[in-house]
Amino acid sequence: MVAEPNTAEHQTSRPGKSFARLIPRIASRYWVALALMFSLTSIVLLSSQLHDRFRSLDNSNSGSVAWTWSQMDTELAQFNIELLNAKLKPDAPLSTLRNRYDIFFSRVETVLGVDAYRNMFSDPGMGANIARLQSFFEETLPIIDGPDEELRASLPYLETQVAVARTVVRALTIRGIANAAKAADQVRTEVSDLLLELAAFALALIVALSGLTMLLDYLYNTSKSRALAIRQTRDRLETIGRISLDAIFVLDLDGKVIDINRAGQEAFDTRRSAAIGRDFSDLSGVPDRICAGSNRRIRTTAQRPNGEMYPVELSISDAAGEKNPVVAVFLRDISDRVEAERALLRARDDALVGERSKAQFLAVMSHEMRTPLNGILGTIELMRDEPLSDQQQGYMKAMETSGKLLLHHVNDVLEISHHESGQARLNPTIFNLEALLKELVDSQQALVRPKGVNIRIVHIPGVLESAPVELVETDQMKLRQVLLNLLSNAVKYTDKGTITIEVEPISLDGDNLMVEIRVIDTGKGIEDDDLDRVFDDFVTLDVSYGRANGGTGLGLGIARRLAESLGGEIGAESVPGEGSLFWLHVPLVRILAPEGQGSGMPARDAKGEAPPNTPQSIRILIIEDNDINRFVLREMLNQYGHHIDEAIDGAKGLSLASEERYDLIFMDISMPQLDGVHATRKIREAGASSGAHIVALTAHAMPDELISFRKAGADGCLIKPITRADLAGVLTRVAAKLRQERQSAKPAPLANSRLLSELVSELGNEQSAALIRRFIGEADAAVGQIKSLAKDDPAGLRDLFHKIGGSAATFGAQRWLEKLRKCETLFEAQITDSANPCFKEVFALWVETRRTYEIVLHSIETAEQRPDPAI
Amino acid sequence: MRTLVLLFIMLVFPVASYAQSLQMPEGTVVLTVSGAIENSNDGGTAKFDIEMLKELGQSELVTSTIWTDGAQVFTGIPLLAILEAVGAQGSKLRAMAVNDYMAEIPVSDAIPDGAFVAYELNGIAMTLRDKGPLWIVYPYDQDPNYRTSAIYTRSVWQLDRIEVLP
Repeated sequence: MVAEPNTAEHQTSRPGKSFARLIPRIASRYWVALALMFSLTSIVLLSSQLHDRFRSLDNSNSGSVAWTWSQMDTELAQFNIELLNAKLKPDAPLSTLRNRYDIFFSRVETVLGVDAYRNMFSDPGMGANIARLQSFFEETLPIIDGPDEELRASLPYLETQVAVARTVVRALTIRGIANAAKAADQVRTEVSDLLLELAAFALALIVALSGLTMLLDYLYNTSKSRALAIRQTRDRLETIGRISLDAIFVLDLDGKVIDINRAGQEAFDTRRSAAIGRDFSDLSGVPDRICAGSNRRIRTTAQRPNGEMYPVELSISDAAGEKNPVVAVFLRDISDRVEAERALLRARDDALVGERSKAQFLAVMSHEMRTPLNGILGTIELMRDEPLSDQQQGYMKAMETSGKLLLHHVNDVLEISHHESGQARLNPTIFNLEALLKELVDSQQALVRPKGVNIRIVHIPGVLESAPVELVETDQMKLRQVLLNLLSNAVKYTDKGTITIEVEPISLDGDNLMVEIRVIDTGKGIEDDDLDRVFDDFVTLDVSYGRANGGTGLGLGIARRLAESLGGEIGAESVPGEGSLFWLHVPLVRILAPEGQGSGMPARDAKGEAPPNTPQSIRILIIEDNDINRFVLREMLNQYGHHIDEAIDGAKGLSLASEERYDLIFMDISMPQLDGVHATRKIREAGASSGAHIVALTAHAMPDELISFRKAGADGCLIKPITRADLAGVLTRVAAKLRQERQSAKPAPLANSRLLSELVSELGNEQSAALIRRFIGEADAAVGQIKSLAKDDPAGLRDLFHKIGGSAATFGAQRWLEKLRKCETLFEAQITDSANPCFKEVFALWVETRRTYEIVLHSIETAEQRPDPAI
Repeated sequence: MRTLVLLFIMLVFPVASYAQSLQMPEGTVVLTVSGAIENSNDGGTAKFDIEMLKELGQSELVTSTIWTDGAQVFTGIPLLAILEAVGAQGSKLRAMAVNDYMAEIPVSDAIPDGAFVAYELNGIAMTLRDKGPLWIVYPYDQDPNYRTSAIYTRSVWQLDRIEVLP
């Protein structure tokens, strides 16, 4: 507690801004002192000046001059009166007369003998009179000082002398008074100036003092409010420091403690006085060096007084811009937080382990369930072809429905485990989209019919010239599930009206088709706020919505993931109360139906319809150890009328495949001894069927296995149980492949007309014709050499093929070129047995090619004769 | 030292004055003190000849004046001595000259080293022509306060009468 006020002081006395404010404060103090000193000096100077001036005024005594002058006149008059008295009274003593004379004399002496009056002698008007006055005294002094009798006798003479002297004194007096007045005026001016000066100084002083007062007042108010602000800040900081649960340290730049708050003292069992000056790291046990320069937050450890280390978070901020920079360190004990984080991590790890074991369990379970399901559903399909009573048909339907539902559940669960392990793999198959949609609609009819809701499929041509979109390639299972989830939702929430499925191809790039499928219902709709969330996992905003699909609780979340794994997008729009629109953008590969097969394959459930036509017989090998599964598969394939061989294990299958060339091999993966993966690899390596289309059959749906099949060389994979639609897709695909192979042997033109026309336009008719003729000649010669070279000189033959191949390429004899290249390849591989028939084909094809080029040559030469073909 | 002299003057001198009382002037009377005085020798007034004044004391005052050139040596007695000799009881003095010039002097001017009544200038007795026979002077040079017009008007020369006003 004792520490707190000082702590606050440390913190408040050095905030950055107040120091900056201090500078003008000091400066203003300086100016105030200066102004005061100036004023004081002025006062002192002025006082002393005034004092001196007045003293000199006194000294000059100019005021009494007039008196002195007039007194001289008066004293002379007095003497004159005594003179008359003496004349009237001859017996009276003459002492009074003499006294009067002496008084007058002393008066004149005073005037003439003193500096103050002497300057008047320079006045020419006065000098003469003064001289006269002096001569008066020279005349009269002996008489006055003489014996009484002579004085008495000289009285009349004195009278005349006095009369003259009186005019002289009179003149002197008047002049002297005038001069004195002039001097007095000067003095008055001086005094007036002095007073003016004084007034000016006084005014200046008043102004200066007023300014000073105002400044002082301002400074007082400023400092008062500043002091208040500082006090408030200090109080606040003090409070913060006191009540803070975090230990707060103020350090200098060397990491020495300047101050510490109560929490800090308690945390490190110290007193403030003991803590100050200690090194922060020593005190707290924090190993990091705390230095200024960056404000940061670090996680480190500190040491309790009992030696225990514990995790802390340091929040370090410094005030480097100041004169006395300090670093503030807030130290927070984060043991609880760290412990909580550890617990969370453990929980997460546990959960992850749990998830993994769950996924494993699910995978095993799905396998175990799929195998028997395979048998059940396959057998049901076969049974439906048997003659059954209506009742039996009903039972079969029920069995099939239940089986399928069970399969859906298994698939759903498996799907989740796939997606959760992030390993969803595509299993593209060829199927009829239209048929798929119909199947989905049919599956929901039983649910909507009682409600009177109608489901319809609308095809919009979009970018295609014709609708509907039929054969496509993508992961059918996934697409079906997405659509089923969307449709199930629509069905569930639509009590009246119509559910519309719109299919619109929105872009086409080669065979890559982007299709938008919209499921539009007239149900209750979804609020806007919920719209974005309906595709999230485990969303419970509307539990029933999320659980619409088969009760796995993941309906739309799965739909979204599936759509994304298909490379597509999913979304929803809705007007609450009017209905919802769920759209799916899904990329598909368009498979053009074989000629003469306008409508592709029939829907699987369309019982009794003709099996899909395939243009030619496909040679099929089934390698499967399970008797039932092999039987089911064979029965299904039999309907298509292809050639089918069977093998009961991998080894037998491999030997069959190497002997005979099969177009299509169904390969069960889990077989004893030689399993499907190995068998596939062996078949691919060598043998007659190395080019066959191999389809793996498995109940394992785990992605890792699918990858290993692919790596082994399988072209595709069917997950048991296998449906007719699956098979139809595979067969269609294989048929298309075979057809393509067959077509690809023929399409190359005998003569590339574009290349030839370029040749003609560049070189002209004549030269082109000459070159073509030369090519024909060369080729004729080469063909003639082949037979002999084949026996004697294989290397020469290869060179020949190479050379003639170059010419064929130049002149666009593409079909022949292909044949030449094929022979060349075979020859290089030293497969001479196959090469021989190849030679024959080269001969035969040259005959055809030659004929074509002769026609070309003819047309060029004809054009040459008619240089203006436009007419 | 000055305090001791003052004490002496204040305590001993008046007693001596009373004891001696005022003798009659034998020579020419140069100063007549009238008014509120306790000691007299001529029906309520005290008349002094030069000898009587000299008997009251004889000291020198060296100072310049505005009426003379250069420093002057005045010989005479402090005004205070005369007032004490006559037992003056007033607060003001009216000093008058032979030509009836008159100036009022507060008794407070009569202090030791203050107003001074001179009867010799530069060792020579002052005649009427030399502003004599008595001249009230002040120690002008010693104190600027004595260099004022008021003091100059009180510097009465040709002094022959002092009236002590109550």
